[in-house]
Amino acid sequence: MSTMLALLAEPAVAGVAGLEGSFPWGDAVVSADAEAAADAVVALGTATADGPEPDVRWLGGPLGPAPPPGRRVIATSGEGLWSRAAWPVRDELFELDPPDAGGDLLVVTGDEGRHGPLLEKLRGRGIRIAVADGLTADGLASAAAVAFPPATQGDLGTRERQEAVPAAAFAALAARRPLIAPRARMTFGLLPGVDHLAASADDEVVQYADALQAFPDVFAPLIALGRIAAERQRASTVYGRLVAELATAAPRSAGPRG
Amino acid sequence: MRICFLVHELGRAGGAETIRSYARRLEAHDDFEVDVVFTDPRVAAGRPDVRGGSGPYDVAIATWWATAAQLWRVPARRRALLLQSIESRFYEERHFFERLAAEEVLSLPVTYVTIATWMRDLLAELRPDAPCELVARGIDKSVFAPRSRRPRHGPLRVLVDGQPSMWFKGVREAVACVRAMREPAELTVVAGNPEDADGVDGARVVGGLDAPAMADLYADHDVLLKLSRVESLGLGPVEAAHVGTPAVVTPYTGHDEHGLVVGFDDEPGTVRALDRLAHDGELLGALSEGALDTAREWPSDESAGDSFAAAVRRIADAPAPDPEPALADLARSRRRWLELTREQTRQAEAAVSERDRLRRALMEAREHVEELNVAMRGLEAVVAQKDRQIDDIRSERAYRAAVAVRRALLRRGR
Repeated sequence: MSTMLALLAEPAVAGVAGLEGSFPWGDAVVSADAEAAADAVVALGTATADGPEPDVRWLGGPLGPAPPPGRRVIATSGEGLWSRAAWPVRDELFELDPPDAGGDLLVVTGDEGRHGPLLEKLRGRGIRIAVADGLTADGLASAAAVAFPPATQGDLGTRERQEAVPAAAFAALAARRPLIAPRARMTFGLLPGVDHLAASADDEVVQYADALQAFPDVFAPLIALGRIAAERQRASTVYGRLVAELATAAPRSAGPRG
Repeated sequence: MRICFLVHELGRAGGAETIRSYARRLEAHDDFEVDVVFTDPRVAAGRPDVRGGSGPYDVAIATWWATAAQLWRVPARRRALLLQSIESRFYEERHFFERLAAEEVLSLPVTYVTIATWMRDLLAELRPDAPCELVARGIDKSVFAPRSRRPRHGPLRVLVDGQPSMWFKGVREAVACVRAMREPAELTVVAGNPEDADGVDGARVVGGLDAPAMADLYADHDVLLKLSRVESLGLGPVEAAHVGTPAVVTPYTGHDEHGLVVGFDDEPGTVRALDRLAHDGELLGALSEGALDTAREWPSDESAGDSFAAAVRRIADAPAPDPEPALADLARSRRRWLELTREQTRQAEAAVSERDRLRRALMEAREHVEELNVAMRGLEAVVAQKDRQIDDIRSERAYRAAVAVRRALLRRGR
């Protein structure tokens, strides 16, 4: 029996973590509106629409306030979660052209004020950078590598860790872009130094970024193992498992989506 | 044909059993003569080691990154590396130098023998020049055979597979998930070395079992739970599937779906999966049937042994690999290590510098404390002197008379 999965998502989010097409387990569509015909509805990030509550809300980071009881919420960290996970990776990102070695390091930060000193250091070191407040498919396509800077400035040598790696981290790995990510307690299977580079402090980011731009061809093992790590987050695989589980779960409530 | 396996040790780990299994299977062929040669004479304990001058061999096979460096210490026409995992992943970030050394084996001018398709594909990407054979690990199908399973009554019997003291086996996380279940469950941990099983307090721990005992253990449980972060294929779930016991596993490299797959670091999702199996006997039964189906496709010990023998013959017959591309890869590796080591060294220096700064601050603070102590002792002397002066005044006759007059005046005033 075929299943219809509807993903409620903003276009930028859908470009990274969405899924469209037909798969052995059913069909997937991305929609900004309610999909009455869907067997399962998953809302990505903060996307909302009229209609019943989505079966699952999959946040693009840590959980803020605790969800109301009975809501299925997936996030990278937080209490009362239904699951703890990074975002799936849209299948098409695995097919992106290899990066242009002369391309920019894409620094993904929602807080340019906090990361201003890092950006200055990167520019001062002569590193080519582009800055974005979120990871998008277009941004990824034009980037040679991706950095999510540490949320807080750790002391060098302390190996300070933040709670979890960013939800979109696997997208960069799927697209064969070397990844610099915050050193985190929860990596969702990523192995720092093996499939990505982990940083606790600005200077660590700068050093790794410099090495990646100066010697892009020497990081092939890191990129290949990153790609293998990303494979387990492939959207068609992850959503397929989710749909199978939801098929045996209680139906979603008739309350408003949001 | 003379073959030698270079081994560091032959413990209870699955990798060592693979080596033993392949060595036994080669010896079963009339045309193979097999030596197991220890690379560390301290571990050899009287058995053949690399100093022994044995050989020459048709093929020398290293079996672990630490043994690969010894490949050129034994006389051999061809050299190969049995790659059971990408071994750099076994080391945490702080074990930087072991990681680099383990990664180095991917740059050698040898033929690789891998046991999983994902490693063969990885090598094809990183070293398209390097000859590579794929020989899947076989299963002793006479031991790991389907068992009749009675309908379950009572708690879900969960078997956690892995050595708790190994960080990447996820055993403590697995135990925590079983303990967080809503449904009743019985927990057993099976470890290679059950004496070294800290962090699973209260759990029944078994280990050191031979293959028939392992098959019985799988059959005595409803589900195998394996939350490893690093595996090459994860033998436990494969063996359990042959018995008909499904597994809940993380998607480690080489995993097969012999049950349910749960995410890394996803305790709520894992607990939910176990609870589903506990209250849904139909699902558990379907997964058991599915596990048996996938197990049927898995090669037997015999066929894996034959495949390994065929691979070794091909290695012996083929020309030796061209060292040029290997050297080019090694040069790239060196640059990578240099850049990453530079950062590690900088961090170490920064940590030392920070320690020195704190040490100086501590010494300054101690000096201040000492100054304050001296000042305090001076003040205490002043206070003591004043106390003595007060006592002297109180002991004078004039003071006592004045006090008596004051009391008399106060009484009269009432």
